[in-house]
Amino acid sequence: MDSKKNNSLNDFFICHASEDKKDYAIPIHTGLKDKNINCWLDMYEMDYGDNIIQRIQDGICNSRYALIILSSNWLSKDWPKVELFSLLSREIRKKKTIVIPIIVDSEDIILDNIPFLESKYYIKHISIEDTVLKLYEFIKRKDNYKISDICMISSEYPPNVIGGLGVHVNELSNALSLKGMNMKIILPSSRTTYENINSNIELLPLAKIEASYNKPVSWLEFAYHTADKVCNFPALPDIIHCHDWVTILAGVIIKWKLKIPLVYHLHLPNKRPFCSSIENLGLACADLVTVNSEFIKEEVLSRQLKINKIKVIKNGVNTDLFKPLETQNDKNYILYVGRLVHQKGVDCLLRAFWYVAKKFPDIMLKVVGIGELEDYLKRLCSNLMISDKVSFEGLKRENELARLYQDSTLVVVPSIYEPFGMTAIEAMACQKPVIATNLMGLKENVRQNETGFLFEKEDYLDLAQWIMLLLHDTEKRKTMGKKGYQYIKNNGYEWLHIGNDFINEYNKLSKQSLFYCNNDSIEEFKDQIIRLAKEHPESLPQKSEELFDDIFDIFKK
Amino acid sequence: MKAKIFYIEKLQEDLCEAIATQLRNVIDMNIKIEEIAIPENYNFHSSKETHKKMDLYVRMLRGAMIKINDFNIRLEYNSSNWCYLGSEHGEYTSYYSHSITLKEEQIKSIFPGVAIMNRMILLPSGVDVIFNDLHKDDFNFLFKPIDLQGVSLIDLEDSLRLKNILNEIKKLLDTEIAKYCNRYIELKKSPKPDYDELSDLLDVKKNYLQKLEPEILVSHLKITPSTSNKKIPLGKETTIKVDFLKETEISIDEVYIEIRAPFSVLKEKVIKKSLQFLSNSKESQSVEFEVTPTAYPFCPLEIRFNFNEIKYGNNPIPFPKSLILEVEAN
Repeated sequence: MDSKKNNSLNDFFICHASEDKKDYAIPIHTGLKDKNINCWLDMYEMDYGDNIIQRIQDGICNSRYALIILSSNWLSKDWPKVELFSLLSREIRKKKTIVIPIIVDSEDIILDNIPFLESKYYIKHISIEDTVLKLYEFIKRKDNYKISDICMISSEYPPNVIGGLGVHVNELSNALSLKGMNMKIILPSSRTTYENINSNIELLPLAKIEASYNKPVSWLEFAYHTADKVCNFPALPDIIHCHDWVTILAGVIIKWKLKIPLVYHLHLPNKRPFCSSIENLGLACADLVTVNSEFIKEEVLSRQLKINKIKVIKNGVNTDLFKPLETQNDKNYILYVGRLVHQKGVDCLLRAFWYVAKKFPDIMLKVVGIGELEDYLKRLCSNLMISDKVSFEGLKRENELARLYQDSTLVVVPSIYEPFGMTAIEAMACQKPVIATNLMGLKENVRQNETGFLFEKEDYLDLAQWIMLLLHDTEKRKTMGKKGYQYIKNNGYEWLHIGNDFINEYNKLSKQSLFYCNNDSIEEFKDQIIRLAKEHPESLPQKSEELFDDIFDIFKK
Repeated sequence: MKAKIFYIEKLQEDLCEAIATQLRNVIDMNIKIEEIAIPENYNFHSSKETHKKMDLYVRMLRGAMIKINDFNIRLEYNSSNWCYLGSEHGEYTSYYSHSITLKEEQIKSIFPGVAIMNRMILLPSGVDVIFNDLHKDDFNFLFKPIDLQGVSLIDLEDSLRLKNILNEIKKLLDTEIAKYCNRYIELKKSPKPDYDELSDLLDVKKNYLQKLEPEILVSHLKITPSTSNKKIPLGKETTIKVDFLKETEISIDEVYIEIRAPFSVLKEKVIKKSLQFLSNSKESQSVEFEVTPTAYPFCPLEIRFNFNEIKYGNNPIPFPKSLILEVEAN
C-alpha cells in the first residue's frame, strides 16, 4: 500500500493446495499485486535449490497476514495443514490476528473438517474481484491508511461569497483542517483579497485568471491554469475536490494527468447548455459525486449518465455562530435571508406579508441580501403599500446575521428552486421556526408541523396563513424552535460531522481504483463543450483553438 | 412619451416645426419628438435609410386603417419609373394583394403624418380622398376613428384646429394610459402600479404616469366582499357565504368573480362565479362555497373581479380584494 506502510513485510502469505493455484492463488495474488499489495506466493518466491521449508518459514515470518484458501483440495493435503497449524500457533503467541480463511468450496464440508473455523470470521469466496476488494479494504483498515492532502478547487471563498457554495467551501475546509487534513484551495483571481484566517488552509488564487459567473466560457481558461498549477505542486494531493460546474473541468484534467481521485460536489445544477455540458462531463468522470439533497441526487441520476458513485452529504451549519441566545429573544419581525433573485421567491413573501400585515399591524419584515431584483422588490413594497413595514438590510457579516436570526420571530424561505436551503438550517440552529416552500432540499430539512411549516410553491395565501398561525401561537413557535434546534443537533448538521462524512468517503477512494468513463463519451462531451463555447465568441480567448487543444488533448493520452 | 413626425424635406419643414411646438404645448412639455424627413424626390435610388423611414410610415399608415386586404403604395416618378414606398429593392410581394398608385406630385399630400406611442394619430385631411379617387372599385378601406385606436384626418396647417384635436387626443391618450395601468394593477395583483416598469413598457416618462394616478387608482365600480360567517372550524368542510356589496350607483350587467384560497382549502383551485347587479342603487349579491381551513386562526381569501371591459371600459378594474376568514382550532 503506497509508501505509507512498512515495505519490508509482505502483506499476505498465501497458503493453498497446489490444485487451487491456477483458479484461486494466482488470480488473488495478481489482483492484490495490481492494487500494490505485496503477497508471498511460493511459485514467485522460490528458486531451484532453495530450502523449501526455510523459504516457507521466511515467507510466514515476513508476512503480516496469511490467507488460507480452503477447499476440498486443501482438506486432502497435509502440507498446507502444517502451514495452518504453524500460523495458528504464531497467532496465539503473538496475540494478534494472522490467519484469514477464504472458503472457496462448500462451507459445510470445510467447517465440519476444521471446526475451530466456526469461531473465526472468514471470507466466503464469491469471485476473485470480490475477494481481492475485501482484502484490499482489510489492508487499508489495518494500515489505518488515511487521505491527508486535499486540493479543493472553488469559485468562491470569503469574503467573496455570493451564495451557499462559498459558505460551504469555507466551513467544510475549516472542518477538514480541524480533522487533520492539509488543505489547499485554488481560486480564481479576485479584486478583493481572500480572507485566510485558518493557517492550516493554503489559499492559492490564480493570478490574472478572473473567471466569473457572467462569462461561463472564462472557466475554460481557469481550468487549464488550475490544472497546470496542481501539476507543478511539489507533492501531489491525495484527492481533488471540485465544486459545481465552474471548477470541475479543472478537476477532470488533473485526474487524467495525475491519476488522482476526483470528488465533485454539485451544489446547484446548471441548466444553461454550455454549463451543463461541463457539468455532465464532471459527473461522468468523477470517482465520487456528492450532492446535498436526495432531490438533486434524483435529478442527476435522471440524466442517465454512467456515474461511478453518488452520495448525498448535506450542508452543515456553523453551530458555534448560529446558536440560540440563552434568553430567547423575539423582536417581532419576520426574517428572510438570501439573494434577491427570481429563484428565491421574495415577491411571494411580500405578497403574503400584505395579508399578514392586515391582521398583525405591528409585525415587520426584514430582508437580508442583495441581488438583481432589489429595486423591483422595493417598488413592489411601495405598490403594496407595505414599505413602512419592510426593511431591506443588504448584506450582513456572519455575526450580524446570526444576531438577526436570534432576534427574529420566525424565518421564511420562499424559494421556488432550492437544492438545499442553508438559511432554513441556520434558523433552526438559532431555535427559530421556519416556513419554507414544500420542494426539493427544503422539504428534506424542514419537518412539517414539527420544526416549521411547508407551503406550496408561489402560493402566497398558503404562506400567509402559516405565518399568521405562528404569529398567533407563541407556544407553537417556541416548541417548533426547540424541535428545530434538536433536529440540527441530532442529525449531523454540524460542519465537523459533515467533515467526517467527507473524510470517510475520501478514504474509500484510492489511486488504485480510479474510475474512467469511456473514450466515446469523452469525445462526445468534448465536442459539445467546444461547440457551445463557440456560441459565445465574445467571451472566448484569442487563441481559443489552442486552449481547446491544451484542455482536451489530455484525454487522448 | 415619444412622437414621430414624418414630413417632406424642405417643403414641410416649417409645418413640422409648428406641429412639434403644438405637441409640446398640448400633449407634454417633455415629449421626445423624432422628426423624420422624407426627400421630395423619393425614388427607387433613395438611400437604404430613407427606405426604412418610408417603410415605417407605410406600416403606421396601414395600422391606422381598416381594409379588406393589405396593400403597397406604388409611386410613379419621372414619367416611366416607379418604386414601392418603403421597399428597398422595389419588389412587389404577393403578400400585398393591392397596389395603390401614387403620382409623383401626390406624395406631399400624404404627409405630414404624426405618430405618438408608435401609433399614427394625425394625417392630412386629403389623404382619404386620394385613396378613394385612385381605387374606387377594388380596394375598400376606412381610416379608424381616433377614439378607436385610429387617426384624425385634419388640415394640419390650421393651428387652431390642430390645437383642439391635440387636446382631445391628449384626453384619449391619458385614458388609454390609465387603462393600461389598471390592467397592470389587475395582472400584477398590486394596489398601485409600478411606474418604473410601466414607464419602460409604455415608453412614457414616469412623472407623466404619476400625474395620472388619480385616474388610475379611483375605482368607479366599487364592490366590497364580506362574510357573515363567524369562526369556522379547522379541518372541517364548512359552507361559507360571501356577500358582495355594490356601492356604486350604476348597474352592472355582469361581473366575473374569482376566489382563491390557500392550497387545498377549496375543492377546486379557484371558484369562478358571475354576478349581476341590475339596480342603479346599492345592491348585494351572495356566493356560497365550501372551505376546509388548513390553518388557524385565519384563512386568507383573494377575490378578483373582471368586468365587461367594453361596457365599463372607462371604469378602472379594482385591485383584488382580501377577505380573511377567522378559523377556530379544534
